[in-house]
Amino acid sequence: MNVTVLFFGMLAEVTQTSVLELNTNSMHLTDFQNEVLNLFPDLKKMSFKIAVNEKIVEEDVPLTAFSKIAFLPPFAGG
Amino acid sequence: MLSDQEKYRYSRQLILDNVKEQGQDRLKNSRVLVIGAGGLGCPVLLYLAGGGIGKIGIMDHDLIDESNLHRQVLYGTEDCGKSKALIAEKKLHGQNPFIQIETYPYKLTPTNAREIFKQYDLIVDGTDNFSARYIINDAAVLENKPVVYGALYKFEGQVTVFNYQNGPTYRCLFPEPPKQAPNCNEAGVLGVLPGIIGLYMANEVLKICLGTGTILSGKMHIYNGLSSQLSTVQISKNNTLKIKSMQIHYETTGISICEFDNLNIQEINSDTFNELIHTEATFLDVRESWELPRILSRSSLEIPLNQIENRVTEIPKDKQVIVFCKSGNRSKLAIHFLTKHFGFKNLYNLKEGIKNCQIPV
Repeated sequence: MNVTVLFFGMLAEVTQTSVLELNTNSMHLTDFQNEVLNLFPDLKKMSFKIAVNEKIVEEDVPLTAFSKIAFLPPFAGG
Repeated sequence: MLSDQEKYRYSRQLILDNVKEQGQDRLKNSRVLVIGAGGLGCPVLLYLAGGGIGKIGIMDHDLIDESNLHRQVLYGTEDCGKSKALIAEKKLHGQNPFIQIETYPYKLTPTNAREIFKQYDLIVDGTDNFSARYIINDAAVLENKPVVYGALYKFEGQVTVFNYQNGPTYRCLFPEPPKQAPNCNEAGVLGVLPGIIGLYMANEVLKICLGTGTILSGKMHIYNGLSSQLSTVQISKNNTLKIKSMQIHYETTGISICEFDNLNIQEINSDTFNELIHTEATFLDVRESWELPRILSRSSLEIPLNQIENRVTEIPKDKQVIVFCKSGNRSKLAIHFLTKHFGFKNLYNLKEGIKNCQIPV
């Protein structure tokens, strides 16, 4: 299935895009997250939270073809 | 009570149904502390003062630099080298003489935060570093004050309200400071972005003080100035998080404590340290400048942990250097960092820190 992935801030610099359509076999967030980290190993060094369908999630939620997954890092600047 | 002159001054917002005289009175009775009078703080301050917030606190230890002026719109060329907090106070007094302004031209610390927060109803986080953001979060949670939060990275800005009516806090979203994230000086920022985010923040402050509208709590807006896209994410409260007191220090170095477990750090004890005080040995104090006790009988290199990377050239590599802090952890972090990234081999840690030493006065 295809899911939409959004990258914010410095994460988008690592992935060189802020939006990505990914074809995945992962049915759950943790598997999907590992897939993304393998695709962009430099993300492993960075801090972020993940939102699924615009909601920050801590647990391993199931994904569907309509899932929109966002990787959100903390910003410091002011 | 508002004077006739005040009623006239605020008349264009007074005629709004959500404000009226009663709302303007509420603004006048509100006390808002703005921490960081920089890119975010300047627009926030201008609109809070303009809108008639009765007491505004301005906290910033920094001096105005010419490279600030493209985005820090309270300051002019003639202000370079002067205190941000004091110049901001002067400008805002000129803008609105009906409000009271309190200045704090020094650094927010884990020890001064709570006392200052007690005097305000609401805190605005316009700082530019993680250690300040975590100090603000913890002190605001302990003092039960809402925090209007803004943060920037290049063309993107985050804005939300934390700790509002028992809502999610900064630590519910990001429990610990990150491994790495540059500030505006390091990453760069287009001048208008802090203006846009700062005005979102000012809007939240005014709504909270007025008690009107929907507060941006439990969700964060992320605005991208390049794509003009506004994204929103919902944040949940983490009820397992309990902050009971302030931490002793909040420095972030880009490395975590667990990383240096397997590193062999050479250490000296307090007896050796007390003997070395009277010799020519180089001492490196990685504490903040306000921490006590200071060693007054000799000079030390004073480089707080979070400045180590920028000031690494000041540390000699060709002779023994004794590194110390209060309890020996920050000095270990410093040694680990300098060894790993800059190849230092001449550093000795004061085991358990200066708190165990008898310092000659």
